[in-house]
Amino acid sequence: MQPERWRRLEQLYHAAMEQPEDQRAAFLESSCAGDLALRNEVASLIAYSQQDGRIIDKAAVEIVAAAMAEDLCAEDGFKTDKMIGARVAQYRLIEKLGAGGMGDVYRAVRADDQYEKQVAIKLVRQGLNIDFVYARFRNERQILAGFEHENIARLLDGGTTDEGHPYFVMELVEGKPLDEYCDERRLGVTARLELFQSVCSAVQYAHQRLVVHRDIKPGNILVTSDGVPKLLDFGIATILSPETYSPEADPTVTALRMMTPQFASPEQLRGEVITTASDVYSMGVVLYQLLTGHLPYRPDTNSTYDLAHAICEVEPDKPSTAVGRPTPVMDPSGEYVQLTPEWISTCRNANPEKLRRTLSGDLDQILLKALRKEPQRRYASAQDFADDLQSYTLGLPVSARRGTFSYRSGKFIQRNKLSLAAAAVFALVVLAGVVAIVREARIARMQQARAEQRFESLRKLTNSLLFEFHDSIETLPGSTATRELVVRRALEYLDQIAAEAHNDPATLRDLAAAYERIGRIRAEEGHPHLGGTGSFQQANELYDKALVIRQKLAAVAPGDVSLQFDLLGTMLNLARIYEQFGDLDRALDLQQRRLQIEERLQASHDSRELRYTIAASLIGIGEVKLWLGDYDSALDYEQRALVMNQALLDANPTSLQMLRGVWRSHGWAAMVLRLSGRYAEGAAESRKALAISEQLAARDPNNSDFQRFLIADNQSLCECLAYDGSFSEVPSLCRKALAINEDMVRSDKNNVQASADFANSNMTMGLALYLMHLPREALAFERRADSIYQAVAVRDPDSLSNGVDHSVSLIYAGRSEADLHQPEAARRDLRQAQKILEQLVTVSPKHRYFLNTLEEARAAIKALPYDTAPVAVH
Amino acid sequence: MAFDPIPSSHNITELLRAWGQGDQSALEHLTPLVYKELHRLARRQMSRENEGHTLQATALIHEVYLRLVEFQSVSWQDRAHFFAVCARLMRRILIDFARSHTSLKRGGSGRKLTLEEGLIVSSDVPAELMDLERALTKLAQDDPRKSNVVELRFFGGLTVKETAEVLQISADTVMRDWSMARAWLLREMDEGRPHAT
Repeated sequence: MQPERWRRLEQLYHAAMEQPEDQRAAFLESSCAGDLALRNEVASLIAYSQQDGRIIDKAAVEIVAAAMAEDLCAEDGFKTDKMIGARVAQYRLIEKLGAGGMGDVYRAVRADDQYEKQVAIKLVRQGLNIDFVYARFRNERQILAGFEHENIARLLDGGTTDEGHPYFVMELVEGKPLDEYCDERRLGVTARLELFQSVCSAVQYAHQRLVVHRDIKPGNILVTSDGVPKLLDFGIATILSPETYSPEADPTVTALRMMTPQFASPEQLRGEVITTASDVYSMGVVLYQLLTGHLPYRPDTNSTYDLAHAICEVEPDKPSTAVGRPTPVMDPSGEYVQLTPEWISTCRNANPEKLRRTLSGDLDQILLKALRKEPQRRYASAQDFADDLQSYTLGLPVSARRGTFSYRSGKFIQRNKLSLAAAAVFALVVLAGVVAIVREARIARMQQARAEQRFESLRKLTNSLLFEFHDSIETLPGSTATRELVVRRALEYLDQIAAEAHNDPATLRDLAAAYERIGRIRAEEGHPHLGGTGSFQQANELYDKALVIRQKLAAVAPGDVSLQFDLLGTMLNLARIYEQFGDLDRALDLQQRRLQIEERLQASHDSRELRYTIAASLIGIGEVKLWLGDYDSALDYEQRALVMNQALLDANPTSLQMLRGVWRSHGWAAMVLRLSGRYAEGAAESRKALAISEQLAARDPNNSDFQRFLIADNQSLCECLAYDGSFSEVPSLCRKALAINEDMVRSDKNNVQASADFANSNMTMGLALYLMHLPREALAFERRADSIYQAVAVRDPDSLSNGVDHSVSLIYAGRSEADLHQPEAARRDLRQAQKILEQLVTVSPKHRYFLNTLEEARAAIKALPYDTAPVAVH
Repeated sequence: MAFDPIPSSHNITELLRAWGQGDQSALEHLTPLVYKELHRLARRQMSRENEGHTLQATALIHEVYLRLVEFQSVSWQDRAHFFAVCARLMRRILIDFARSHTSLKRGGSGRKLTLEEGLIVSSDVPAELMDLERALTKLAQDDPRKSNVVELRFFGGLTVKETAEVLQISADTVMRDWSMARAWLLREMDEGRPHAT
């Protein structure tokens, strides 16, 4: 601006400012004398002078201090960390090593030790459900503490601080992140692949132990100065998975915070089940970046949303294409710089064209295979990934490329470039074909051997996990969630094994046992979250899988008795599932087929065990016939079973197993007799059963099974006597059952079975009291039974037997109410019973006991006086 | 504290003098010292704000100067010159901070952008500071004295009286210069931006 004009502007501004506000416009109008531009400029300055609260009205130092304060809040305590010097367990924190989404990592020493051995401690910040983390940790630590692998930083210890923050003590690794290490040393593609293969072996090692990392990224792979890569944080993500976050935290946000989105797999971003395939994907991203210097995706913006979209929907560029693409990135000082092909190839000890050629072809295909959106289309394991890289390094065909002839001969030519240079074209073609075929066969054999070895360890591991681990925690209160996790993981592995198992008998046998085992868990546990008959369907599917395998094995080796026994066991279990869930025809069919196999087997391989299983089949057939209402036949089967079991016991008087067999026979005989109205005979059988259960309970008072036997026999006898009208013993029998039950419920409040048993005792007591013409007392017990059954039904909605018992308690509540002249309450209870029973009959339409009980409910409703008949008919 | 390599006040005075005379390398040594003080202020400001009151800006910056340099030991004849140098130093350091801060906040591609950084939503005060700096540089071409007034008051945190002393003008002139410069700078800041209306 011209100095004169500037001075004029200044002069006018001050003069105008001295004018009263309402006269400024007029003042300017006259002063500017037609110089509109000048007038406007002064006016605009005056307008701006009126603004307040602008940045200039604070001191710059204050503004900057505020911005710094904001930063300090964000990274609070990174440098001036309050935790430095603090003690965590027996360690003292001495330096902060880093901060991440979950928490901060410190260098620490043992506070009570002169060795000064240094460790790394990860302190989790907040927002976690401590109990869950602790339980998870306890469960995982066994596995993690046993990790012995050169490329895995060991997890040494962990727990919760006094303030409730989880912490993990890990082997301290002094090193550089994988990518930085490689770039600094200008490592070429081959050297990078070699380091990466060590990482693969670490991941494979963990996967074989059923631990998924969930957060593989270069920052979690440190390379020591000796050039050894170490994978950090194994198991931590599992322990701190989103489920362990406190319920008030937003699960999606937490899930996002828990990982590094650039390296997360599509299924991880979608919140789906995370398997070993997710780790394979993340490793693919790591290798992609290691080889090309770029991430596989170029989202439109830096938003997490766009990145997530790209990961889930967009196919990544081929590495050989990506490497030639200049991309702006930010350097550590915050300036944008171009990441050029020249720079990238320089870091890889190559030039752009050479690097592009190295990557194109096999490495392109290998990386794209690791980065497939669908987990099942990626490498099946970290080992397979590593194997393919190895094949590439050795110049062998890689599995990521289709095995076309041209590809294979291409490989051949490359491998034998020199010797082939002089060969005739004709020879080349023939030779290539032959060599490729021979080599392929040899590779296939090699791979098979390795695959089998790998497979074997996986199989053993899955089994030990299922059987030993699951069993060891099964009786621990509150272990359901963990068991669920174990089971889910084991299933993923089993299906994988099943797909690869071919026809190896040992593997197949283990596989069937494992399926069966999970089936039993599914059938026994109440799974309210599955809703409807979800747990039945799951159990059924698993047993079916087991049955198919067992049948196949038994058919292949008909002389192998143990395989036959395996098959019989599975059939029995499956029959029980069918029975439990009301499919009586199938249950009967299976039991009868079982008996046929047993009788055929008896001709050649008679044994005590076989007889015992035959007796079990007889009991089973009798049971199903009872439910079908074929009482005579049922009784016949139960009595035949009793004869066999008694003979077995007589031959082996000390055998607990045989004693239990006899007990079971008496019990079922009593049940058949009672339900067919032969109460006195039923009472006699019940007494025999009770004598045995008392004997068993006296032998082993801590066995909860025997306590349950006692309850059942007391109740059974009590019911038979009450229906028979001989009441003298009834109250004491009922009270005994109730007392045992109360103890069991008290010792394990979460046990659904114990609660159902307790409800059942109350129901029986009420029923007996009703039959003794004490409706008021009866009603009190039935009310209690009803409320417990309601609670049980929430947790175990699939149980048909609880349903029918619940309806019986409602029927006797209703009848008592009717006797007490409360027809309204009676109608309500009876209708409720009817509703439950109608539901049961829908599920199991041939179930005679359900049908009879439904009849009973309807009859009781009919018997109610019509005191509140809705419409008067004239 | 024994490990803290804090130069003595004397050295700081020397550094300031050197920088005032155009020795750019002195800035390297001065910046961390000022940063340290700023951090201290930031911390205190945080706790004060939590208690519901803020410190007065001039008080803040005088404290910085006082902590950096023992006034008694300033051997310069000219106290005004010292203030001028300090103000320029503050301008330089604060603008450097704002520049690095804005580029960080704007983010970039690749792994430097962690999720947490990506999620930070912050006021754009440092960017505004950069706009002011650009406007002020422009003002210096038309009216160096006004630019000095702003530098001393806004960046240097000097009072009107001190500013008058340094520039050897009347307090009244300082006030008038400030008023006009302020209005002009605000307009320039708004119009200098692409999205100005």
